Amino acid sequence: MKKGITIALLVWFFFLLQTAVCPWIAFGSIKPNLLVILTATVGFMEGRKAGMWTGFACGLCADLFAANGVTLSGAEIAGSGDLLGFYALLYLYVGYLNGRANRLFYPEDIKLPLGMILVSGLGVNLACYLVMFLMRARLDIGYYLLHVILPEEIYTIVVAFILYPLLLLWHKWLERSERGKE
Amino acid sequence: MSPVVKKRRKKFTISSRYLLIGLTVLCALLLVFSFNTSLFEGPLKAAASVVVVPFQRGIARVGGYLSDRSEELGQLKDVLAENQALKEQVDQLTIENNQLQQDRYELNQLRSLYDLDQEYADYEKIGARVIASEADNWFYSFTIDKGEKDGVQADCNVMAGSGLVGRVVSVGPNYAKVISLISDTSSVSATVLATDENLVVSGNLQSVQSEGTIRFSQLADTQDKVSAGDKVVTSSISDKYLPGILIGYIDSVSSSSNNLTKSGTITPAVDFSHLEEVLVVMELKRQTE
Repeated sequence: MKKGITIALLVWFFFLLQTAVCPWIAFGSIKPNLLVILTATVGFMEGRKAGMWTGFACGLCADLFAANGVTLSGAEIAGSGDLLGFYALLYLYVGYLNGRANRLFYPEDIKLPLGMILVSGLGVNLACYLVMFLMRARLDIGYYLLHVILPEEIYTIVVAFILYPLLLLWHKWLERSERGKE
Repeated sequence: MSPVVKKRRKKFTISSRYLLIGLTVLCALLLVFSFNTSLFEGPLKAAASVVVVPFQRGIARVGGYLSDRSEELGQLKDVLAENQALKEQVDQLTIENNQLQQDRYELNQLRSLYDLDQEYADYEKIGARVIASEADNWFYSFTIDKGEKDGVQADCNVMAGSGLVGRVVSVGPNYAKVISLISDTSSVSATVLATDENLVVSGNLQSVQSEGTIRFSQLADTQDKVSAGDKVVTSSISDKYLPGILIGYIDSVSSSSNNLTKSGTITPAVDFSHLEEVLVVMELKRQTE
């Protein structure tokens, strides 16, 4: 219960940070991806289910506020221009796969979670590139890798250095309060 | 993971694998449904307008205030130099304006002859603040703090200063999502003002990032009249954009590989990296027809 509520609050808070604060700290129009940090970390710390719910919620928020104009095969979307579910699906799997690595989680180790965040971010961005750019014949993958994906990952890792310890505090607080209940 | 937590987990009845399958199916359904209808959007948007948008608005206000202050401090020198340059420009423009006014007098007379005086009438606009951006770095889209309640509709054109920014793609109760002109999936039918020739302007992430320009194509220009610096405005044949809104200036022109049309790059009139306030044009293209 406590976990659910705090996860919902975290998603809300990280999403606000991502959409409203990140543009101010963007570096050459590149923003770090905090949603990946949150989803990967929650999955890694709290297991598959928590990761999945976090990912699904983060992705749904991203879907709801994305206006990428991507229309499959050039057809106009019949609704009002929203294609919901794409990011939700992506982040759902980020949460799940990071949750599978849950057994490798040790609070003292920061290298592995940062590595997981890096790999997750790369995965999400490559999927975005494949679906939304390569499908529209934007073939220069080298350019996008060097100028969009890698800068974002580097920035994300730098930010994760600050955010991961904070999420670790949250995890420890959760663990303590669960132990208190027993 | 402590053994205590593991014990707790057994209380849950759904295994994580079924949850994964369930949520995946839900996502797939969402994709299919949102592609065809706007069934789920209403409640989701209503929730977002209460839970997320007010906070984004607050943060944007604080952020705008802070950046204004820091700019004020840092750019005083620049502003003074700019002021000097602008004063010179004002003189120049005043002279030009006088000539134009004479021209306009003539134009008005000619127009009244043709009953065209409504065509380029001023569009009704409302101001809006940019409160949030998209979550990733692939598209240049953003959210503004005016929505359905303020009369904003999908396909409303969005301007900043005198230039075109993009158009509204989706509206919530108190917010609207805008896709910008420079976004990789945008394309606008436009006209070169000097020669009255049509072309298609399309956003491109690669050229926006590396040179700050967007691309154009399908320019006929058989007489090689179009050159760098020419003004490009939205054309009257565009189905979503009102005619005569400034898009930018031709940056370079080259022949396409088919040797029939020309393509090249355009420098947008709007500085997309510092968008804080925009104007939403309340008139829709299809209404004016």
